[in-house]
Amino acid sequence: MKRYQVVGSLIATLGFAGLATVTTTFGAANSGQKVSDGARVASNLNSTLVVGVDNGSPTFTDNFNPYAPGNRTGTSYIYEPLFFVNNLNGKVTPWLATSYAWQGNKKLVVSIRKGVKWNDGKPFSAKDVAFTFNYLRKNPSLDAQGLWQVLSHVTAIGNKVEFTFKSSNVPTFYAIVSTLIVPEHIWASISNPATKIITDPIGTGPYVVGNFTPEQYTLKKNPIYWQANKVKVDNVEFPVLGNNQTAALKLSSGQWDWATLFIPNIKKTYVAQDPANNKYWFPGGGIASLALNLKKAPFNNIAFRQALAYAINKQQIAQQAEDGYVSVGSQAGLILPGQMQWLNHSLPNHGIYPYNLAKAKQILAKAGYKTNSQGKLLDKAGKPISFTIQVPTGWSDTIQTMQIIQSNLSKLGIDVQVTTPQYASYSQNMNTGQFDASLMFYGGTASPYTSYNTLLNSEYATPIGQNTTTNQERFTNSHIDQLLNNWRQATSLVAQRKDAYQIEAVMYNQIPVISLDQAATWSEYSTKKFVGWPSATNPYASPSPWGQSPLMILTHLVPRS
Amino acid sequence: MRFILRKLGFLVLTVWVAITLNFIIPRLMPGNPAEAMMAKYAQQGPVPPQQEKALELMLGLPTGSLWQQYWGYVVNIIHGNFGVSYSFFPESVLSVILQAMPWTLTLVGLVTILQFVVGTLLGVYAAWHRGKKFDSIATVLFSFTSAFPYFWIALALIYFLAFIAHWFPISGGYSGSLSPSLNLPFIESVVYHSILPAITIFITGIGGSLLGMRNNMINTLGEDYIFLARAEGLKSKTVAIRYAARNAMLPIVTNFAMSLGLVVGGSLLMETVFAYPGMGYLMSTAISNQDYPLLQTLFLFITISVLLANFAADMVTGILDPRVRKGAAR
Repeated sequence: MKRYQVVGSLIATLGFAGLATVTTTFGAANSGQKVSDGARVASNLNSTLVVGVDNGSPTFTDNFNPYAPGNRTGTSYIYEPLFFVNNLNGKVTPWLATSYAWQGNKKLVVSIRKGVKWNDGKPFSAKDVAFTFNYLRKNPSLDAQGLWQVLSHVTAIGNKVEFTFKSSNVPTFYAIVSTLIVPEHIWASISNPATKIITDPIGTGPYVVGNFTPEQYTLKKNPIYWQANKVKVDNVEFPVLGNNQTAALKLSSGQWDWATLFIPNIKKTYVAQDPANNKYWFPGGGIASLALNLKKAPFNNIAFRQALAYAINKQQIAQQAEDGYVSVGSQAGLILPGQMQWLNHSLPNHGIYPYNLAKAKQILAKAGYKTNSQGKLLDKAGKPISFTIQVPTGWSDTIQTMQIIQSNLSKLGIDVQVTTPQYASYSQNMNTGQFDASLMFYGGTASPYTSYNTLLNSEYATPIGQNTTTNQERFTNSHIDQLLNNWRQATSLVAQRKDAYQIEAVMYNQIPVISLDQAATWSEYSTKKFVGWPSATNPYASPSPWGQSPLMILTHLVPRS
Repeated sequence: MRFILRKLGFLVLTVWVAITLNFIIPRLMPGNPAEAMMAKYAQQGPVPPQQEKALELMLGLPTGSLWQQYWGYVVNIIHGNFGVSYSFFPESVLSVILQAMPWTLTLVGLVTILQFVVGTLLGVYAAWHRGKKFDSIATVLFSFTSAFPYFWIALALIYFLAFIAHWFPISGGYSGSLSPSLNLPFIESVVYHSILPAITIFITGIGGSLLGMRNNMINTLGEDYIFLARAEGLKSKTVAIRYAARNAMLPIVTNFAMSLGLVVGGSLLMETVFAYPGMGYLMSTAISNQDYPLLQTLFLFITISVLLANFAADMVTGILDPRVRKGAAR
């Protein structure tokens, strides 16, 4: 009996606790409304830009260390590079440096801007620049661009910094000038740079950290910024991004001013909510391609690859798999129209292979491929041709792309299977060459050299079974290697272009990979509070709220009125 | 006493097995965390190939033989050192978990208790009045709601009540403009943000405890001692609560203890949809980033809390039901 009472009273207590929870919950609902209204008013302040980009899943950790991989997105609003490089067209704008000059092709001299201060008030100088690069040498784990494979030493002389190269490698310029510069007076004493937690970052950039909570942080304008007169956005607010569906709802409901999300049917779900202000621009940021394993038959046959390039309906892929947001990719490996200045105009149709099934069949027949009585394409040994395309699981748009290719190629009598492994095994298969065909992204670098070098340099084409992170389709061509080598030594644009044109011709004729479409940089923005955003007609920067573009964009935005 | 010792021994053994499995399973997955991080970057744009090497160097991926790794792992756990999280690098695993834990414990914990209590009481009521109007409506209704997928009901609530009607916030644990502290506006904001997640768990969870209790109770009501109690002329309320419900509760207590133990793991789908800053969301992040240290520690916490809850349930059952103790003493 006694024991029963214990349980009974336990149940009763729990019941009351439950009831109490219900009352407080609903009692607070009304006053809670006030809280959120207050928050809405605060973010409606015309001087605050709300950016949905930083995914704190589940909450933000307070770290603005430019070298930590898990740092806050806002870190790139605080530290600056020597030059701003527009990856859309390769245009270089002086930033912490004012000019550069090549002395021969093994020495780069950069003049550093005067009068710039760190946000703690200490002066910025060429010594900080030299320190930054030597710091990367001392800590190879920070050297994500592999600069010290090319550099031999970096020294500050007056207000100039000299970069001396081991061997000439002119295109490394872009990696050097886009390196973020850190202050010597802070970092000289930090011996564990990657694991150091930096909550009060000292940079030269337009913003400093304001308010920080695990659900949201605010950057406020740096009053002593060297081009403070150009910065008209007083505060930038970063709420936790959350999952894709709720993020899209927050963007559509006008709570955010800038985001980088893939939104299906964007005209209806986003633009139509406020047609005067809600805008989007999805410029190409790279090329999605079908990589064929060139060490295997029949992919080692140029005619076979050419037939596939004609038989794949790239227009259909851009329309159906990518919701019509992207344009078809050029076989020249360039992002168009941004990199138009590099395009070899002797290539037909900007280097794009049109969809032409009849021509594909004709090429195959001419190359000696026959079909059997069931219409299956046979290889040279008389067996039906069949292969597998791999694409990482969950990447829904690219999976659909591969399914379109599957149905396109069935018209040639080729059986294609699409497999969707985890990214890790997808990547491992690519590294070791254990694949038939695979999704591969390439291109989108400021200088096309970087893209061509990683895609085509024979040096990286390891035998099947050995690791490589570049040239994974394993293309080898000594003419290309020569052209890349020329390019590394050429400081003049005219000479570089001559090499580019020839490389593009090889890309077009030999098809190391089949370009499908231009992978988009997602960017949605609202002109309700601020105008002056980059757009297709004024592409002064890639419109992404991450990386270095915000430095350029936030010196262009102005309040609406 | 022997009963308790035996159960304790069993607890220690299962904890060791759990720790060991915890060590092995992540290592059977393909790839490494640097590659997973690369995947995250690759979705934003092309990544320079040198970056993977740099990342591997920076993360200090495990080296040495499996035995050495295992030994180091066990020693570290005993010292409460769970390592550094890869996805929140360079934050330590423990600090990341301690940030997420209170959110889950309060929200998921309270709602789990609430739905257990309400569900059980309603189950008792339905069983006692079986075949009547309430029983037939409740049984059908709650079989229906307990079959709702978590994320579906969560998204429906967000769309209609938050996006269309603007009654509730769309996601998050509290308004980001407030800093976490124990003052009124912050607590109000927390409660306000927790209503939709709470409704989600409550609706999808209550069916289970209601139906379970109802069915157990109906079985018990057929027992001879219930007839006897009635024949003795006891009040029907007394018979329902003291005789029938008490015995029908036994399996439910075990169930409840299990679900309390699982609370520590959070409610993965609910938290992910609502971007609620708890353990479930943390776990989904850890999985998608192949964050071994974080994942291992989360699993360890969940396993241990389930085992402890089970141990507690065993003890409670021992008190409630003398047969269990006697069985052990024999």
